[in-house]
Amino acid sequence: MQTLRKSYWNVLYAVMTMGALVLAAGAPGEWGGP
Amino acid sequence: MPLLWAVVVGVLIGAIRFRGLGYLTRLGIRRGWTFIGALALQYVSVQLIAPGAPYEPDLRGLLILLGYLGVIAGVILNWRLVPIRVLGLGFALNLLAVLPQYGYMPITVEAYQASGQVRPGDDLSDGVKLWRAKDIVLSRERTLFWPLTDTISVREPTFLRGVYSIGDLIVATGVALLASGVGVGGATTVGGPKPLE
Repeated sequence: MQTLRKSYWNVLYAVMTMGALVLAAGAPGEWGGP
Repeated sequence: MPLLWAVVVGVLIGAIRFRGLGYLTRLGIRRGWTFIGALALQYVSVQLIAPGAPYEPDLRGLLILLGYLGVIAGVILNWRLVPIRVLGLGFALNLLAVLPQYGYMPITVEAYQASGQVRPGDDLSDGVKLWRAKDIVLSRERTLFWPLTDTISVREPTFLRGVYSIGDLIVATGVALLASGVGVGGATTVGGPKPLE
């Protein structure tokens, strides 16, 4: 159960990291603007 | 936040290639918090700090640039990953475009209007920094490295609505490659399903 929970966390972490990466590195004006 | 679709598309491709989402735990991204921290800093500065006077450097722009330092650190720490190198190229192009404007990405009134995002009452005079955005309105003549700035306007489909730079598109490609599991394979897939290809 703990391993499963850790896997979910790792998947979430990877997705969050990539989301943060694409928004921070690119997409100037992504937040409600251009 | 249209560029997030790059993550969605990448994960869908990866899920098909690897028959599940388990590969996401093996992407090998190190120090992911540098990217999350960089975004948090940019988000706070854009949402909570008012833009300063036209053309002048301001705190908001400085914090955006500090956020970029976090991205640079993360890219260097993950340089061994090929998709990160692709993304790094796009980011470098964006950085080149924003540095002359102290952290703000130049956008022309025409490009902004073409995307259909202008609201009634918006001040689009030259030099104005847009609210809730990292952009500064600037005529093409005043813009250094104009081809690298936000020039690609997308009005439809609405989920992709925005104005993008060439750097943005390269960044999105890099993230999509990363999310689809490019670089995950060989020894790192031992114990897990192999890609279909």
